[in-house]
Amino acid sequence: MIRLLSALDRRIIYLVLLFATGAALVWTPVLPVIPSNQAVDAYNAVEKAPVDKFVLFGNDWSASTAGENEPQAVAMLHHMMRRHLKFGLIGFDPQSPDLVAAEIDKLAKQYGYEYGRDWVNFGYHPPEAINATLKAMVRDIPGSLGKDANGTPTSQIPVLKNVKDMSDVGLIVEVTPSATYERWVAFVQGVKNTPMVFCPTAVMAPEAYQYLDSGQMAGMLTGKKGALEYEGLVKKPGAATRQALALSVSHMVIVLLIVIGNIGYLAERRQKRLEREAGL
Amino acid sequence: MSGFLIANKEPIIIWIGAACTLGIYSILYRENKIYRFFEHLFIGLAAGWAVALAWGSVLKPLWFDRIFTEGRWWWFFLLPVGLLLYLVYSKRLNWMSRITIGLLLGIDAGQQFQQFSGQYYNQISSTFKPLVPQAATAHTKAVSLSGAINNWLFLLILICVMSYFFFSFEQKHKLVQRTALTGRWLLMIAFGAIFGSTIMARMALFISRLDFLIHDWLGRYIHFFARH
Repeated sequence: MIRLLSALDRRIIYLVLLFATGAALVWTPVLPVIPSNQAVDAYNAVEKAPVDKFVLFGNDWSASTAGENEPQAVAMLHHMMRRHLKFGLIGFDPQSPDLVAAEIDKLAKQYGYEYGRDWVNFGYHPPEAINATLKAMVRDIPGSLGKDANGTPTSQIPVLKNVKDMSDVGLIVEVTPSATYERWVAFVQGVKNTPMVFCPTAVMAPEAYQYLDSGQMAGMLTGKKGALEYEGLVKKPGAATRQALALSVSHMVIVLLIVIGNIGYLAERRQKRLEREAGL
Repeated sequence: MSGFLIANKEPIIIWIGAACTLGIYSILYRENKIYRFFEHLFIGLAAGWAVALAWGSVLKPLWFDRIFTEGRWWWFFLLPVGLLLYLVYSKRLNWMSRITIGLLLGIDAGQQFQQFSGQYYNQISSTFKPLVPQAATAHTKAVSLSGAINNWLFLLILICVMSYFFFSFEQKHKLVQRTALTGRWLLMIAFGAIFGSTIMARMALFISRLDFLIHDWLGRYIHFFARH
């Protein structure tokens, strides 16, 4: 039995995971969620952002990490739009400005948001020039970006009428699966110590805890778990809440498989030792 | 035909999405031609998208329009500077490509200095933490007993991990050896946490696709799978 488990075909493991997570997705009771400190800090940072200041909403994700970053961005949008914060969307990934703009369009009616008056899409900017773009933005946001995603000069966009440089920015939100957040911290956040909320994929999150400790980041949403916590905080259950049970079940299955694998490994080692001692 | 496509836009998009997802996941069973087809499809789409975007969102508004619409002709001189990079393929003239490469390296090196200070200086200063409980003053925050214990732990872990990275001299003293060994174990714990986060991230992406397949695709036709 133990040998059978140790030599289990990986495809059977995939099938077990598929059925376990699939069943959890079909049967979807809402699990109680206790938000982490960093999610609560992120919530407080958005809650405290001055309404008369501008928010820089960086999104550098694509369809490949939408499973984690999209619920984060949507939960963050709910909170910002409920507070009627005026914001500018900017992306250093080709897909994210379009993906996030589609989500904003879905929420715009609910919160009475109008393009140009309440928010602006600065569109895609090449990641090769991220340092130069961010450094230029610090001095002159509308001047350095020139036009919005539709080609309208920033001088003609009402929401930017009172926005000049970083002193007009009350909050930075960065949703990303890559190291672009380091540039935001290095070139933008530190200029005026603007509160920054970071929404990384779970892979990226462990690298960022020191930024929370140093105060360079005001809060963080850790992957889909962070999105789930934030959906609970803003009381807007979405994709992360729906998929929470499946995520927990998948973790339980993986832990179980690790335990089984280790039992098999130890038993096999013991058997070999016994065979050696018996002189076989 | 176009009327049919417009009328059925949503189900067509969902069916394409489902076919692509299942095609890509078919690799989990074994290497096959369906997976290869979808892999090439994705690579081709991404490459085409990138080229269109490089022109539509970067070169045209930031360079072409500035010259031909706004009349700022001096932007034209960026073209030969960029084209110099292609001389790397010429044996006789490849030295000229180094002019542009050097320029880019110089800019990047300068920015790295600023990035380093912006990123790490605050972190270095934040390692100076109060180690005894104290009341709040005009310049400092209050530190509770648990906060002080936390700060002690932080300091010890920092010293242990830093001592592991002392490679400049041989670690002969037992205290240094043990501190470094503890540092190595602490690093292993951190790597374990990172690995756990990686699994969570990968599972989250898989669950998101499965949610799409079950609710958005199957749920359209089978009531049991519909989103309630």
